[in-house]
Amino acid sequence: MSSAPEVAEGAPRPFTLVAELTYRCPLRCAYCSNPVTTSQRSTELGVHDWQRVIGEAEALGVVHVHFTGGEPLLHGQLETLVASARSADLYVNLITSGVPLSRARLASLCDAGLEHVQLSFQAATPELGRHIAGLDALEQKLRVAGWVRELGMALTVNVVLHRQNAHELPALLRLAEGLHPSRIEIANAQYLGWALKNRAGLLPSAAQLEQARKLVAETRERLRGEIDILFVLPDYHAGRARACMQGWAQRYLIVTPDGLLLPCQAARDLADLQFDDVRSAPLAELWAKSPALQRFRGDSWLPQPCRACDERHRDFGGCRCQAFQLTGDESAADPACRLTPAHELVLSARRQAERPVGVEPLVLRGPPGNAG
Amino acid sequence: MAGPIDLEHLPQLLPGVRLRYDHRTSRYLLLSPERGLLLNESAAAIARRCDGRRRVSDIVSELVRDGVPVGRAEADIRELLGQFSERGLVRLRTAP
Repeated sequence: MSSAPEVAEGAPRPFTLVAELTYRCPLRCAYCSNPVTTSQRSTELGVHDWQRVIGEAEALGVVHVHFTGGEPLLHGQLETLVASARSADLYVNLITSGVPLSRARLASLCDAGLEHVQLSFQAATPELGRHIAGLDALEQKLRVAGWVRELGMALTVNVVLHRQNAHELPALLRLAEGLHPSRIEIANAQYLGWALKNRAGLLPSAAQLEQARKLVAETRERLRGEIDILFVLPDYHAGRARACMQGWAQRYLIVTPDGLLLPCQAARDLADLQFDDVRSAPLAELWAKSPALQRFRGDSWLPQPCRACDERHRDFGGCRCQAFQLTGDESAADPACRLTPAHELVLSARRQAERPVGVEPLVLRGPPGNAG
Repeated sequence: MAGPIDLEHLPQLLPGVRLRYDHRTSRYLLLSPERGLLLNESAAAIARRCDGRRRVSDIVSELVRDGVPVGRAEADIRELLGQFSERGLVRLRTAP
């Protein structure tokens, strides 16, 4: 930190580096946040590239690194990267399915400096797990959760909630509580990328959502001071725009397996933006000057009605990917907000969700391209 | 549920919670999964001592020795430990 690089006047301080080490994954979740099109633009980053990114991110002010993917455990040198991040005094998080993991490997990751494991659960029953993710891994995940605690690391249990697993929420919360994690995240799917392809099969009814919200609120109250429980609404039901990534290119740096610097994990699907390769220039220079990051930074680009709305200081104009995927225009107002002209697109999807709930077909995430 | 703070409690930061000095702000950050709390000087002095070995009363004495008025030291500790415990950052055990 003593040799912090020059940052252009006014460039915000990022706090979190999201390092997507690979798009490969043993699961094929129907709401995967990886891009739908993963055509590789260049070769994948090597260990030295990642180490440089980690060091330069720390110098920019980053304090958290999230190793994620795909499944980051499929990266053969994860231990080395964890050690590099920890020696830069970053707080080291692993976002994982827990599938390709032994206790010995988790112990070596812990020795290398891993501090927190966020473990995803798709369902509380094997059949539903297979339906949502193409694979039942419940028993393995339960073992992994036990190891994380035995080794003295923090554990977050993460559940992506949607139409087809909402009825299992009571069982999922019981299961999660029994694992004694520090945190439980019940995050509704957001309808971008793969989840947008599967929106009809995933978008919950208003009644499902209300029931889930109530159950989570009761559980949170009961476990207050023991387990921190987070509930994230789907943008479609919020009536207002979410402060996506706390603003475009403000707090988060995302680096893809093939080295693109993004402002969020879904931004790669934005057709008109050219994101820079982290190998092309020092990270500080790209963070401050990349045209794609500058495009929606701050509020000078805001369209109406956001430009005149007081909410702009809270939601920063919402999600660019949602605006693009619903209206075809990434600079449009986020249709999640009820004050926007395209909000009817969201309302009509919600009306279609008001039908009997049952098992419906899902398009599982396809294999990634060769981008890692 | 965490009860009231007792002078005999042995507060300890939970697994995955640690302090990190932040050169940019010249303050301490209390890091935990997905979060970083920027602490002021008196909060950092307390957080640093939540090691599971010092009792709340020991921490009060140490702060007083460092020049904090007695009444304020105890009030600061009670308030901060209440907040930390509410956010799942600290465990309040009593000695076995």
